[in-house]
Amino acid sequence: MKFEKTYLSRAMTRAMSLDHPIGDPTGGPAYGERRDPVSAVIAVAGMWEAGTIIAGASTLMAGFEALTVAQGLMFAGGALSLVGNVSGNQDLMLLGSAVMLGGGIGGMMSDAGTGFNQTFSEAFTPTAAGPTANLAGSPAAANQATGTQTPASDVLKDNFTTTTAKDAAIADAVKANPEALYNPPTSAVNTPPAMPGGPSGPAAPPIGGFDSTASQFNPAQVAANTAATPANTFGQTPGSSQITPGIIDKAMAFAKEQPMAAMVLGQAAGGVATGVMDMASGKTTAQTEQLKADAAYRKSIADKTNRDSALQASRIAQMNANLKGLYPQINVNQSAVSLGQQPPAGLIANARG
Amino acid sequence: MAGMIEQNMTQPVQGVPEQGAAITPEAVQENIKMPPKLQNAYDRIVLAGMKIMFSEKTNQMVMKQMQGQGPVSERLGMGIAGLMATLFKESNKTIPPAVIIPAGVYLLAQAADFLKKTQIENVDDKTIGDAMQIFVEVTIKMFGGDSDKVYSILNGFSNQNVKG
Repeated sequence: MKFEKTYLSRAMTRAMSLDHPIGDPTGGPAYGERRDPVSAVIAVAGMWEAGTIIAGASTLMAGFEALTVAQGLMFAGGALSLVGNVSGNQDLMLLGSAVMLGGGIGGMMSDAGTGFNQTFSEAFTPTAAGPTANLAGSPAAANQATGTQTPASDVLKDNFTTTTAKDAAIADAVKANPEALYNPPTSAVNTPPAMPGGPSGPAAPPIGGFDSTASQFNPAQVAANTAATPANTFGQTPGSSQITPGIIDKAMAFAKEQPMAAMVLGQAAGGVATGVMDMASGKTTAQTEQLKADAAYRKSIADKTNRDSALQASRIAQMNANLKGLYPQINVNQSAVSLGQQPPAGLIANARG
Repeated sequence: MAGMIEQNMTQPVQGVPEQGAAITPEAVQENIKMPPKLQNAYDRIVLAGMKIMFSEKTNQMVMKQMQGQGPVSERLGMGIAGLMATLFKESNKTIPPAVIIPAGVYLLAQAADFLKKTQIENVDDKTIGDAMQIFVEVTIKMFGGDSDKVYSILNGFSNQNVKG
């Protein structure tokens, strides 16, 4: 019997919570088949092999896969909003507002209707040098690696290419320390190539027969979204950080100066390898529960230490209070009885005498 | 007297206000809504991260890293970003990128909770907020994005929603 496999678009399969070929009980992701068009593009992009340096020396990924990092904002939006509200961090609240883009849990499953990927493609535009660029190289390469590109449309250009005080501060910092050139001002230094598939860029080559740009980047949609943007009623300045300006650059510089800073987290005794293997290999439920228990056990030790410390302090305070009540003449404190309360020397000798 | 001491042993310590108690890992977890399709990947990444942070072999190393120079929020945000980058790289980039930020946010809350309870660092709500912002911005940048543009886009969408 011959099966006819029908593959839906990514949006359709997501919307239906289906990501497998209809009519094929022996196929689909569970059997390693991911043949919807976007996954095909991702698979090709995933073949990219370049020397990525952890935590900022280079981008970990660029383009369409990187775009989905921003989708994580939707999933974590509620938590970010909560923390932003409690801590009074307006930028975090703004990041948390990404949850609204998904239109709820159901909407999160599909990009259809939200325009999420189309919108965020501006912020995650792949570059010619892209992921292979090393920030230790030329400033231009650094610009590309940090994702600072020329906006794709004039409308967006007006919005994004601004010389702000922050830019000036970064320019000063760069002047003082050229090594720290991780995210230079966009106006003066940036001359990145036009984005493939963009209005002014060359046509993007189809990958695996799929015209990726047509699906992932829609300048008209982005321009329409941006043009429809009303006045800022939240009173928030885009990107205005309550944290010191250039903090990211400082953090990046820190990571560059100490390239092993992040790696040291897990290189001790193969901790990362074990953790990742656990994650990727799909352990049995019992094993997973055991690992979870181990982690919880470590945390409980910390909790217990904290409780013991508090208990000991409470106990000492109570004993001191009780002793002071019974022997008011004694000066009770953490140290030994002071010399002032000791019997005068020579008293026994005098009595004997 | 002994009875009094025993009685007081069970009482909480008085006069020590709990700072930053509003943001807990549990509260953060409740507000992270993963789609069912990514829930398993999320759980596994959180588990791997927890194991690295709290396992016997690596806990000391991580804590030493956390006690470095600079503001706590910076160390926390950068540390978790580095942890997620390490996990991503070591997994040969098999981690779904959409899971990076939610998992990192939760792990950051766990790390902050740990630092708070062990009194290694004075971590309040503002510190956690700043650390999360740093983590998100650094992560976006690590993946080739521009956080300023993300802010701009979100601001536009926020205003559209307000207007309806």
